[in-house]
Amino acid sequence: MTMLAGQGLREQAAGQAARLRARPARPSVATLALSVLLGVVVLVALAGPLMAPHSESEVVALPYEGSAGWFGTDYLGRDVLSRILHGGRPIILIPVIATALSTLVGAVLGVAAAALRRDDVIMRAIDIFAVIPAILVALVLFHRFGAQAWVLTLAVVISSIPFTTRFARSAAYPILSSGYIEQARMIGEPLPAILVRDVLPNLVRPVLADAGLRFIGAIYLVAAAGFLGFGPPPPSTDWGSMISENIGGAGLNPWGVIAPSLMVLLLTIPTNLLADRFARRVAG
Amino acid sequence: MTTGLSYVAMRMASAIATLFVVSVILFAAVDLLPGDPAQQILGVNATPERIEEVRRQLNLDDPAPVRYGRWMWGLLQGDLGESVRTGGPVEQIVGRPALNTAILVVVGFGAIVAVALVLSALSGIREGSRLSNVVSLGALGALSVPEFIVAGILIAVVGLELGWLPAVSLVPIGGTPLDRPVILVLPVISLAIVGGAFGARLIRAAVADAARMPHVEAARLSGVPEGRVILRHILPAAIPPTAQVLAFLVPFLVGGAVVIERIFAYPGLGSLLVDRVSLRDAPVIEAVGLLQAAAVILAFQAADVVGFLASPHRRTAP
Repeated sequence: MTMLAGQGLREQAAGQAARLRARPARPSVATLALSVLLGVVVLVALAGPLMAPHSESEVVALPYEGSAGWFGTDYLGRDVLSRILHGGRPIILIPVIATALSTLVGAVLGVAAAALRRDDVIMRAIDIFAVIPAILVALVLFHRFGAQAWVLTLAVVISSIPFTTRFARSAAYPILSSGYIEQARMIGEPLPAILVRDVLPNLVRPVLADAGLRFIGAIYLVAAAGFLGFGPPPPSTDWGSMISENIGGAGLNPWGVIAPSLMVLLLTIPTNLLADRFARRVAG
Repeated sequence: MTTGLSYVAMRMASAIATLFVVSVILFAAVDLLPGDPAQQILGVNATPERIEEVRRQLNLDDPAPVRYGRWMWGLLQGDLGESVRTGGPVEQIVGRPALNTAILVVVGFGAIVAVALVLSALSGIREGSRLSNVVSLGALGALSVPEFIVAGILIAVVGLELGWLPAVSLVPIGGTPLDRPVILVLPVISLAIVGGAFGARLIRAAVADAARMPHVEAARLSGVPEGRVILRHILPAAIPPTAQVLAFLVPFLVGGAVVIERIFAYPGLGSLLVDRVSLRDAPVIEAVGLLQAAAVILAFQAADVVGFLASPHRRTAP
């Protein structure tokens, strides 16, 4: 088990390095456009509840009425647009918090594994974590503690840590074996000081690039959990839950499925493209 | 210098050790599930005496290590225990869904590898060309589409609106999905779009890395013809990382299959798992979890062995 996903992307990023070095440093039009698009989606998700014409539980027409409002009504006759505007917060906030936590824990474990040469203990433990099906962990946690936001966050963190740890370790290794670190060691600098002063600053950018990719994985998991019925408790909702709620009536009002799907895609596609650009830039 | 055989033996031992630790964690996790199985079997009207009796029958009052030991002892003899909810041996409950999931995963794996190879070849042929850029961008876009969204759109459009393919995977009673292959089409497409894009990016990166290795340049400089450079020097060097990429598709498929099976009501391990976790049927959950973990471990170990056998200097993994 020598490779997890982030590593391959990093290697690919290195492959693009030569081409990118020729590029100007200022952001391209595409990057700007993607950032604006992402900013709008995040704004809609966070401020949505303030803009929604109806509450998330108000019944406005018959179920699956395609002509009511912008996107028609859902399986209980509630306004799809309003529920979209109400259902954006969890799918943004939980992945942000979970990614921050798993990146932090992964960085500490990964740097520790690389610096202390304790690959046997830390990486074996991580490998074991990596083979336990994440979905099983999530299911058990949901049934034990209920489908609350912190449980979902914890499930995402647990399933991301193997990736973030592996990435941080592989990013820290070349730094730790470079000349200036060796020199610092020979002068007799204590290891913690070396880690904080010399390793950490060089680690920030690649780890941030990897965090971008983890964030997408986290959005996937949160949306999938909602889809499997472990979203916020009704009548609250999120975009993943809305897809599964309304899939039965997709023949009557397809917007009930298409609108939340589009919102997830408007979140994941720009994030993915931006994270990829950032990762390549870092590698260059 | 390790020989191939002793390397394989070493990997096997490590796989078994990992599986053993996983079994402990799995058992502990399932033990966390709330509710009393005896109470659930008997319903809310059961008397405390009756509940106590059933608890004793199921050996629920023993401490966890004792119950784990009993479970493991049975497992070593090929006995997975009995379902505490529906009765009957776990082998029978898990067998058919395991076969169905295996079919989905194997067909999905084949489709993903095909998509990934075609895409990585298309984008790798001439790096920087228009075709290459379009394919790379398309793959990155496809990578951003969660498989259940692909599935939802396919069900809504191809299944319900157009009615071309079944939106629900009904398996003939007593048969397998292979008796009605048409039900596999939409689930496999859902898995192959994301998985194929994922595989394509990583395989292409592996080949590009191999092409940049010093020995490739050395071969070119000493006048080895380009075809021979690709066949004898680049491709062999790309095998170990590609094997790792393919291995990594297995946990993706095992996890993805749970969601996909749920959407298409496909009678596999994923659907079984989701049902049995809500029923707190510990023996079945543990069996499914162990099977999934074993598949993932096996894939990773196989990739390590392939990588080991393919590298000329027989280097162990760093």
